[in-house]
Amino acid sequence: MTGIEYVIYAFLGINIAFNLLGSFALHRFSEVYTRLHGATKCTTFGTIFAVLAVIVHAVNRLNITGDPKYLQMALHSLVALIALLLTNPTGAHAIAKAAHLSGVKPVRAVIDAYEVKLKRERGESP
Amino acid sequence: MRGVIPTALLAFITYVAFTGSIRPFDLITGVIVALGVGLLMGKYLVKNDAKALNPVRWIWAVIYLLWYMLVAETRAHLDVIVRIITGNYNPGIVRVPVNVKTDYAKTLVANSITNTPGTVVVDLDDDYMYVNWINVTTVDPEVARKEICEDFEKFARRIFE
Repeated sequence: MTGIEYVIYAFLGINIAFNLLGSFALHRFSEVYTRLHGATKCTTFGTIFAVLAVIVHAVNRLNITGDPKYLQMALHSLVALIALLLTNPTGAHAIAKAAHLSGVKPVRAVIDAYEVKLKRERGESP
Repeated sequence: MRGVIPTALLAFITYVAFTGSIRPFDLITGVIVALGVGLLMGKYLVKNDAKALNPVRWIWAVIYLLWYMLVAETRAHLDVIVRIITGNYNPGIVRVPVNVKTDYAKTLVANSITNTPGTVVVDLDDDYMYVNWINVTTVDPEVARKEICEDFEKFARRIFE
């Protein structure tokens, strides 16, 4: 195994570790909002390292073979990473808001300022 | 014709990155597609051409991306990992004032907050963001703003305002 392969495996290892922690978080936390933190975020960081591994591999192969399809591989993963960075928070935000509006309350919450605001808008006393 | 050039430029760069080749055929189809996108969407996406094409703002955007990935994300991830392992957390939804004006800057701040582990923006109105925070240390909106999003706002102002 060459040095560059160690780098690729290290990135993949970090990716797996983060995804594993993300799935632990699903069991560890008690309700939908806190689970969102673990499940969606740890997978983002994991995916970043997976994409980094692909890019390092592609650039390495490009240097050895000179085949332009490896450049394409690296660029595609980069575009996929940017798309993920834009869509992931939007999805998490949508899930959190939809959960709150459909009546799932944060159970262990010490404060729920959003509930106060919604009640004020409906004209109820908070 | 407001906004055609910046939108077309961005669409063209994305197109070339995605096809991954610089053959004349790909470049010409790229220009056609980019111009089409620019003409259709430009007036909805861009309010001020000079601002959108200002290279200083783009350099700040790249600096922000690197800082965000290397510093903000890593710091927040380590914090949440400790909480996953120890099970020591204290969630709640706090109110955080929004201190940026343009829609793009608000989107950037809200998305940055949501993408760092430990904080999720639940809703956003004109004055306040409602942030689900995994470890509530304060309910004071100003103090919460300092802890959650002061750095993001600094960068958002430099990039979009």
